[in-house]
Amino acid sequence: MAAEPTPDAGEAAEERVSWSMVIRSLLRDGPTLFSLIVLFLLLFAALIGAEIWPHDAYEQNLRMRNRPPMTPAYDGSGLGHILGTDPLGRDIVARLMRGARVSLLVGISGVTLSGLFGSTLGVLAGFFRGRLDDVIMRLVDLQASFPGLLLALALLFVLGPGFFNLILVLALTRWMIYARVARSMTLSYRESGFIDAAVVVGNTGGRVIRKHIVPNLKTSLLVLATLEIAAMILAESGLSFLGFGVQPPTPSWGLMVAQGRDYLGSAWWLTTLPGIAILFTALSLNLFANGIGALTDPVRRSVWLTRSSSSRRDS
Amino acid sequence: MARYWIRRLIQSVGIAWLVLTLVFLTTRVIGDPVRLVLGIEASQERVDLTRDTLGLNRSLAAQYGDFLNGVVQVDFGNSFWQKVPSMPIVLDRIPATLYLTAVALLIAIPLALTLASIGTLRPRSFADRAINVFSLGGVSIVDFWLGLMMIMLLATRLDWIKTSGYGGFSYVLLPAVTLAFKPLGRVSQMARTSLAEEMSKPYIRSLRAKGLSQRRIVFLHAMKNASLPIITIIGDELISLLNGAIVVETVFGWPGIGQLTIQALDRRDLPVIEALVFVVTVSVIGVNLIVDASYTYLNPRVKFGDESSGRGTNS
Repeated sequence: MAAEPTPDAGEAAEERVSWSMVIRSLLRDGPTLFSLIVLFLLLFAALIGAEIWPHDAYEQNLRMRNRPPMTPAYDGSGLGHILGTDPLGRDIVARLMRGARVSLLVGISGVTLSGLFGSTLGVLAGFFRGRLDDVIMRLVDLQASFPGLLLALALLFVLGPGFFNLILVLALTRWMIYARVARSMTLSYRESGFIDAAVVVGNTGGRVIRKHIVPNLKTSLLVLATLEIAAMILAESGLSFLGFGVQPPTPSWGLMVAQGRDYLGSAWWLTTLPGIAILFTALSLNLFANGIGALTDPVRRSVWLTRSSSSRRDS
Repeated sequence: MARYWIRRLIQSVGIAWLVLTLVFLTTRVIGDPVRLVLGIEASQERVDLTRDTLGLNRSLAAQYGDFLNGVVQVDFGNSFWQKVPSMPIVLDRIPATLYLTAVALLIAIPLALTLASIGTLRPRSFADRAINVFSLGGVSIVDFWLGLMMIMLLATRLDWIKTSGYGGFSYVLLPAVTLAFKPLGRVSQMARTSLAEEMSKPYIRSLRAKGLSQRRIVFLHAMKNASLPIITIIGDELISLLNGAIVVETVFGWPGIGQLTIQALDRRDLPVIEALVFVVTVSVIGVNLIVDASYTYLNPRVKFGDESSGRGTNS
């Protein structure tokens, strides 16, 4: 993950790889294919599914409380409650799809915030070294060694719950890893000749960073960000489960698990289904990042591409 | 050597001071402690009264002096809820959390190392891939959900397993297994990666040429050399176990630090929260010192002369 960049190896192994080859080898790898399918379904559910699903995520019906999966709709017409209803008679599928939207929104905006913040600090620390580097990296070490959930809880306690605060707090508790990766990569690029050359030619520091360092960091940081979306979604669900994250009636997977807790013995679907949704989402993001990571790492990429071409020969 | 540890100790005290000052500032400046304690709906009379009794009418500097005085005497005032000193409340909860995390680690670490070695013995075999997906699953799983699933599936069938409360094997089993999953996933992945790295080194080839069996090479030689990064990740896990403990203890009603955190936050019990943060900070610093000490023990080549060789910057 935090692999040391090897620009030399990268340049040496830099045979042009066509997009179709990349996509083909991603699709050939079982786990990556699985993750792509799950992520596609998830995006579909969050963006389109929640809009076209006949049941509303907020519509209560107290005569339809805790109905098991495959219960027909109350008025008997149209689509039934395929995955059942919750203690307020709301449709589980609709709430899961709205929950997907919440998870993705928190995950992506949280990662964007923490990623921009962390990598900016990391690049600055690695490029300018000295005092700035010391201060930033001390802060990183300090915060990284403190339990993140406790910090998030304490911050939410002070700031108060709320959707924006939740994203802000999650970003504030997870920026350190970007700073570490961005700093170590910037440091190693700084030692290599092309940065010296850019400086000698008369580029200002800011321009060197923008034109020569940032483009080289992009892929690794994107892989890292994919992993972090999973971590962010897990953190959100934990906070919501504990009652400090997303507040009802907004559907969040973690909150749905918490609401099902009182009905463990009588309504298994309330807790089981949102948990499976979280598990599949996080697992897919991890598997996907694994696959992408293998492709962007020059050493592992050659293994991947040869493996896929050799298996083509086998079949 | 002695000078290094003295400097580390002074540094640790500095970090503890910094964390506590941040706690002081966030509760006093960003949030209004009276509102934090009483909630938003409290009447103005109660707000004024509480402000008086908490001594919040005085200058920030005077309050800060009081706060530091309390820190030095390890006294953060009486709990608002239980009306007794907050520090003993926190200290009373420590044994339960230590007990739970110790059992969890006893499950997680031997199992993680076994899985990683099986994968290393037969790289890229079906078992290796299955273990990889399993450990990714361990990282992706939601601990509170896993706990609830086990309560639902196991405890309702096997009535000797207790789902709530504090006690011997039948009580600790479910929470410990739940808590073990994340470290199991992360440690086994980390161990697998560092073992693979060791196995690609030249000395392994000469061992193989000498005629040693793969088993002997992995267990006697590679494992020993891979132990350093593994120790680092175990140290990190010790700290993030506290994150897990907050959730798992809440799910299983385990009377430890984690449960107390949520109880104190729910009751807006500021002195207990401050005492908690103090205890956690001290233990985090302690764990970091122990991990560093075990570094020198395991690898005499690590010299703690300059900053860069310390664990802080390369973990």
